[in-house]
Amino acid sequence: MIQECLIHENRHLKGRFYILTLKDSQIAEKAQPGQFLHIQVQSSIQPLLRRPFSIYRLRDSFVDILYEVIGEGTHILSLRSKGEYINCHGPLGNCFSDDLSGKHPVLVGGGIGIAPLLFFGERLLEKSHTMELILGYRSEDDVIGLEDFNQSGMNVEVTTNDGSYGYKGFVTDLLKDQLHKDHKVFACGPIPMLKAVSDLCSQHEVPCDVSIHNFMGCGFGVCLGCVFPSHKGYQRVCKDGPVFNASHLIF
Amino acid sequence: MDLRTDIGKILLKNPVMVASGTFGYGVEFEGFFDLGLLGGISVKGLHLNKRQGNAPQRIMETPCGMLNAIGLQGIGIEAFSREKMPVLRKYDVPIIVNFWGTSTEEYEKAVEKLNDVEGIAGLEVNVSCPNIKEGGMTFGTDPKVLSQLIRSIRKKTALPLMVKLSPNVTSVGEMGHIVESEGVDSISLINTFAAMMIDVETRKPVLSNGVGGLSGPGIRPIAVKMVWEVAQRVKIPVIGMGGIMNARDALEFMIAGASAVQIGTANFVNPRISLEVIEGIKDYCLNHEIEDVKSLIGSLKMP
Ligand SMILES: Cc1cc2nc3c(=O)[nH]c(=O)nc-3n(C[C@H](O)[C@H](O)[C@H](O)COP(=O)(O)OP(=O)(O)OC[C@H]3O[C@@H](n4cnc5c(N)ncnc54)[C@H](O)[C@@H]3O)c2cc1C
Ligand SMILES: Cc1cc2nc3c(=O)[nH]c(=O)nc-3n(C[C@H](O)[C@H](O)[C@H](O)COP(=O)(O)O)c2cc1C
Ligand code: FES
Repeated sequence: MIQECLIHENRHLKGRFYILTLKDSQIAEKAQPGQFLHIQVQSSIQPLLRRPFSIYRLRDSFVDILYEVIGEGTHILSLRSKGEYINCHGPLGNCFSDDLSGKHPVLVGGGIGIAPLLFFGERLLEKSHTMELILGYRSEDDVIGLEDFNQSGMNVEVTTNDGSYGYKGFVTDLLKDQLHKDHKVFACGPIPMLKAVSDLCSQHEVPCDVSIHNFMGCGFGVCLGCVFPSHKGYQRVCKDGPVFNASHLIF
Repeated sequence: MDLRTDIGKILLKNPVMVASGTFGYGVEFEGFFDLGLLGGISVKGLHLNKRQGNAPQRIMETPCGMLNAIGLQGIGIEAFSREKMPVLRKYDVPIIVNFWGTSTEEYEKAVEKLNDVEGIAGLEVNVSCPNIKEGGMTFGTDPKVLSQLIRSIRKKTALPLMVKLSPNVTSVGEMGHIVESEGVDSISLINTFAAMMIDVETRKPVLSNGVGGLSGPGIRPIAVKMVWEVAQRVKIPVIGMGGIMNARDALEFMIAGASAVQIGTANFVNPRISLEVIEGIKDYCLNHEIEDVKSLIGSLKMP
């Protein structure tokens, strides 16, 4: 599905962080937690490629994207205004499975990788699952989204690398004290974090699904530019993922 | 109005084809539109065997373009013939198989296999890959190597043969002349420009392969000039590509001498772009009272 979506709001949160709200009932109807929209930040040839963003939250026909300005594309996105239309391809990719097979979910997010976890957490709550939630950030300036998780009724433990907010350390420091064989971990964040979480889970024989956020070209499986190594050869993050069983991947 | 054009022995219902490596095996685009509306499809470059391609990082964005070193990941000719061709044969559209090898023998074996695949309209030889036996230089950059390769391929097949030229040469017109004299039916150009990006923090190349191929609108004016050069040197049809994003871009190539065009990188941004280009060419012809799109080919008015 490729369409011009109405920008309902493009709100600055703090620092480099914004929430883009699109009004689009078709996307809202179809989207599943973990999926992404491939957004053309403006209709021009610079930047040329679309940019992928997880779906952060759905409310009726409103689709929220939580994003961090890190370069040209996200900067241009931050300048887009309410009432304008923006070209979106999606929802794309696979999703977090809410079939837990009796396991207790633990959601682990790092930095902007927390984005798909709100949507997933809300889905789990709808299905009457409780969960553990650990979110890690570099420092207090990067701590975002907590009010949204709290408002949805999720209990969050926060870590910062420098200890400026919450627990000082990495998400894995908290995770390793809690991991239990009845858990299933769902993680999204920078690759080094996902590797650490995945290693920890395999040590404890806990199943772990990770969502990979790498650089993309087409976003729908044809350019073969976004691949990640796995035991079954290279996997396309955009089409075979972004959510993978961590034990299948080669970090 | 007549949008038909021909590239050697292959008749196209319109001049808009899609470029190898940017349209998968065609079937990936079935959900976007009726593939039968296209002038032609050049599928992802095939090797005799399944190839896993390069390690990531494989792509990066550049000013108005992108750099790629996919490393020709592909399912191989047999799997293509078994899994993809039955689907593609349902559409009334010429299927051009882009293929490659790392030695002349591999190219020859690939051609022998492709000869037996039902429903292929023609072959497109990708010569922008390293000749591993002969030190890794790409086939398409040495005139002697290129002419020998094309001669041995030509002997092996009666299928219409298109050679896709590399732009990484001193005189692309000369290369066009060389392959024409080996009896090929048409010439497509350009493949990507050899290029590099460096991460100044790590001082490493951005792509794991070190170098990659540059494509997209940023290369278009160079591509147009190269198509113009080749079209002047050869009598066989030329298929132009490089950065086409809309109908006006496509028309530039035709006016420069291309009988048809291929859309590449633009498919990634807008999977329906080829249809928009076809419609745009139609509108242009209507507005300019052009009855036959072929009359545009090589109609450049040099000052
Ligand atoms: C499936 C998926 C979901 C995503 N979800 C979100 C989201 O919800 N919110 C959000 O803010 N971002 C998300 N991202 C990342 C987002 O797509 C990038 O931040 C964005 O494309 C950067 O564009 P830019 O033009 O601003 O930066 P660029 O100018 O393209 O890049 C700036 C710098 O960051 C690097 N970079 C670019 N993209 C990435 C990346 N994905 N990972 C690591 N480094 C990168 C570049 O190499 C460059 O050094 C997601 C990515 C994927 C693949
Ligand atoms: C990701 C990618 C993969 C490509 N793969 C192939 C290929 O397998 N064989 C080939 O002959 N050309 C390949 N090309 C080159 C394109 O077919 C085309 O020649 C080139 O990109 C220039 O056109 P464009 O600027 O419109 O993309 C590839 C290009 C890209 C961007
Ligand atoms: S981004 Fe093109 S295949 Fe994934």
